[in-house]
Amino acid sequence: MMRLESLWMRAVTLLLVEDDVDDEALMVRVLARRQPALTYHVARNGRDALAYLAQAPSPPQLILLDLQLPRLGGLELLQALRLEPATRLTPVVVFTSSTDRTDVVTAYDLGANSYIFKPVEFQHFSSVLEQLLNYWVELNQPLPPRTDHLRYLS
Amino acid sequence: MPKPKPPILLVEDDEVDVMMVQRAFTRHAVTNPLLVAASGDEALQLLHDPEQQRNLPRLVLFDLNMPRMDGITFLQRLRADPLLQSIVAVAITSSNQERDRLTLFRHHVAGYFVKPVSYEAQQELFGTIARYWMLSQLP
Repeated sequence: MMRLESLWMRAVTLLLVEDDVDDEALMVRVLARRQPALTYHVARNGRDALAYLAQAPSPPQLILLDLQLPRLGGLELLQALRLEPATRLTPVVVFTSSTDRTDVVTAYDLGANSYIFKPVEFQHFSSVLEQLLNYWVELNQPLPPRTDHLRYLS
Repeated sequence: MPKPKPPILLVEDDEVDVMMVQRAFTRHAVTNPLLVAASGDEALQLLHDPEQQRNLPRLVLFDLNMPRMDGITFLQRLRADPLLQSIVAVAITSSNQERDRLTLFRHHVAGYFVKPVSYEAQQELFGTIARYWMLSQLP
């Protein structure tokens, strides 16, 4: 029997939008330790993220967004996510090394749910990411799933 | 002199729950002063108090089921108020209602949490919420 799901990109709990391979490796290490396992997809830039979302059967439960991205930056992507009905209310946490106060203010103005500085040292990085996932994925009650089709202009 | 830590405002009408949150903060080393309002009205009044303006709470935890003004109305008032609209507001409920969740997220709630039954789990939840916002840059 053919599974309909296989025709689509799989639905994931977490969408990571991250262009730095080292940071991605750190995140994947933290994610790999989690029980129960959490499904995720990594997008390298804003356009990849929109392309993934356009095909995903349902939006993720959380989007973790880096700001310095090639091809459609983090803030532009955030703006696009908030205009799209399917991800208008999806929690977006900016997770970035940018400590620029203007970025913090702009991100919240554009509809980010939270803004966290990415720690440099691994122990700290890992603990912050764990707390972030506990808050948004384990404890926060996700929005009811949408059943209508996603229409992204990517 | 270092700036005093911004207070956290708890909007909760049940005194036992207030004590539980106080205890959770102590156990999780959350040292921000805790302000308590027993209703949405009282919370809005407190936030508008000129004395409070110098050190406005940047995090509000509110119970959804309150007498007089319910949590949704309280959040709507907060978001309609230019002075208060960017405060991080987190909803706590004892009954998970899908319809409420949509309305709350439309009004930019910073999390929707169902209060667990066990006391230990409640302590853990409130500790996690407060510590999370300490890690976060606030608007």
